[in-house]
Amino acid sequence: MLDKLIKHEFTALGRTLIVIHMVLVVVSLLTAGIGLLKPAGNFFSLLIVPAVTILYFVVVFGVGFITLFVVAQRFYTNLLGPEGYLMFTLPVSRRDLILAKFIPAMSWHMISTVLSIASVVIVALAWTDTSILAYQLLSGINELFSLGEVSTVLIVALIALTFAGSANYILMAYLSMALGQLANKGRIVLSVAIYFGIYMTLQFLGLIVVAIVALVAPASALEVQVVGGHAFTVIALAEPFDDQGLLALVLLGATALTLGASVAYFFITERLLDRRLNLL
Amino acid sequence: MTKFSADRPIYTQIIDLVQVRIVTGVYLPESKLPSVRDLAVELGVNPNTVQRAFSGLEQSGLVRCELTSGRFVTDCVQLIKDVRQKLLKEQTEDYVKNMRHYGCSSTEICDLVCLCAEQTEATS
Amino acid sequence: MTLLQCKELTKTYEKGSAPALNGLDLDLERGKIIGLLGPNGSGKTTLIKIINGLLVPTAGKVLINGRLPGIESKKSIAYLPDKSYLADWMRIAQIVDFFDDFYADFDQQRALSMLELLDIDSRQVFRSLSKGTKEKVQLVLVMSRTAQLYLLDEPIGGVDPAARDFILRTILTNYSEEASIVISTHLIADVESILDEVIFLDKGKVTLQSSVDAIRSDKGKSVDETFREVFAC
Repeated sequence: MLDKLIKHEFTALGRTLIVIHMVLVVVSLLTAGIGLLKPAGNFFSLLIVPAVTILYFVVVFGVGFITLFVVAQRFYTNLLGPEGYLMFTLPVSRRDLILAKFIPAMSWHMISTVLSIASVVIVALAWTDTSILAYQLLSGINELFSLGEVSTVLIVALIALTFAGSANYILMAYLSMALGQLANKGRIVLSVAIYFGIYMTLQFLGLIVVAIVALVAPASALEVQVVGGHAFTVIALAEPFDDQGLLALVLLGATALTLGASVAYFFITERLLDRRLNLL
Repeated sequence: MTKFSADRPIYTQIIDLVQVRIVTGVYLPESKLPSVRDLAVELGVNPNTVQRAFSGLEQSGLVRCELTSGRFVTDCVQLIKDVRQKLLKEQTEDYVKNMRHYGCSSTEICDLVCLCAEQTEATS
Repeated sequence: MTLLQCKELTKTYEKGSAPALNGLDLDLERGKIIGLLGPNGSGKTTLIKIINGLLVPTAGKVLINGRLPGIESKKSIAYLPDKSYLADWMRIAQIVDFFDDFYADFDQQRALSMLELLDIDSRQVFRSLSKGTKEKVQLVLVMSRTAQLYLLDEPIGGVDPAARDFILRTILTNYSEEASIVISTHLIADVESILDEVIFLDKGKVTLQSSVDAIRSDKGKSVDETFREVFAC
């Protein structure tokens, strides 16, 4: 039954997400096209370039946020709204219902990420000798590679952590909604509040851990900082590290923690929807 | 959906209804009665209620049940005639009682009935 | 095996408030059309939700074919809520496919022919239908299943008389000795003639469970009238 649920879920998500990503592709191609054509003249540089740059960035970041929003909203509408009366009386387990939401959500998030990165690379290549865009991008990539030889393990650890981070955010959203539905009124507001509550708490806990480690073993404080940052690890990498192996280990540690948290969120959500379902 | 009166069990009312249909020739002697389900759907009542009514009719002998082929109206014409008489008597008694309620005498009742019967014979 | 058994079923929503179901005991046999009657707040919806597995009882238990509510029981229960519960954006044909996907006992042909009979174009999007049509579609879907227990929550409320007739006729045509149909409703007079049995629910308990015939012969009144007496304000 899980496969049928997943199939149905992709159909439902595709309605909005395919269109949005089409927009991304079209805007990317247009922006790249403009970069390639490079019509001369001051008018072009002063007006079109900034306008296009802004539009492009809005679309790229917008697509990422919209995807996450659509995914969260789908969970809410299909399971916690009136459709819940249909979904929760189907002969399927709560676990399958949640998995059938999570797997397509993760898939679309990854598709979105890949498309966004591809888009940025293509646009940067098209605009290479013209604008700020390319410069920022290239210097960013340069910084990343200032580590010298980047080991495969490090790359893998990075990707694993990003992946775990995404799963974590999605499952955290599900958990917030599962908690929010316990109330009879103001469920959406409550869910959003809970989401930020959990997020802030984790950040706070992370800071405490860093502070403790800094007091106890100052040298390793930086690595712990990385752990606490979850998916924001990429920024922390701006500091050149001598020992890539150690860094990879730290990243994998962070991944494990993140996955652990994700699994916990999943099971709590499952239990809430099993025993404390509150359909109105 | 047939309207049934509220104060009696529906199955007794169905028994009456089927009796009337048999007596008036809607269901002919030796003919097959509609199935429980079909009659239930036609009348808008629960099939078990129809079942109960059919059982009652079987007991009275008006209907007989062949296990594989269904239910049939009796071939005993005399029985049907007797039931008809009984129904006519009941109708008349009700009518007369009603007329007495208005204070009619026997002669008045007979005159009214004869007049009405002649008039309706002209048009029917 | 008894189709449905409720043993001391209790459900309290908030600590301190009166329980919605208060030690309810109930046995339902197969092959019956049963009316679940009671004023608002008597616990009808709570009972139905618990049988469906949408709510967990505070105490006591409900057994469907001897099993607690779960995936197995959901396979044999067909539920019609009293609200629109289908995905608005889907076309009727898609919804029919959906039911076909998840319920082994769903008869797609029967659903499609019933829709045709009702002159409902299955290419329409559910959102675009009138309220009455939506209710008919939802009923068609439920009635195209060969379940063992049908739970219909207010199936004829808010529907025009012709549609009402159709719904009652469909219920009768789908009657089987293997299954039971529970109709929870306020409109007793309209459904009384198709019921075998009625259950009166009051403040979370069963106050009366009897055949319709018995009520009529014992009290010389219809169930509707008896209900009005029992629950007079």
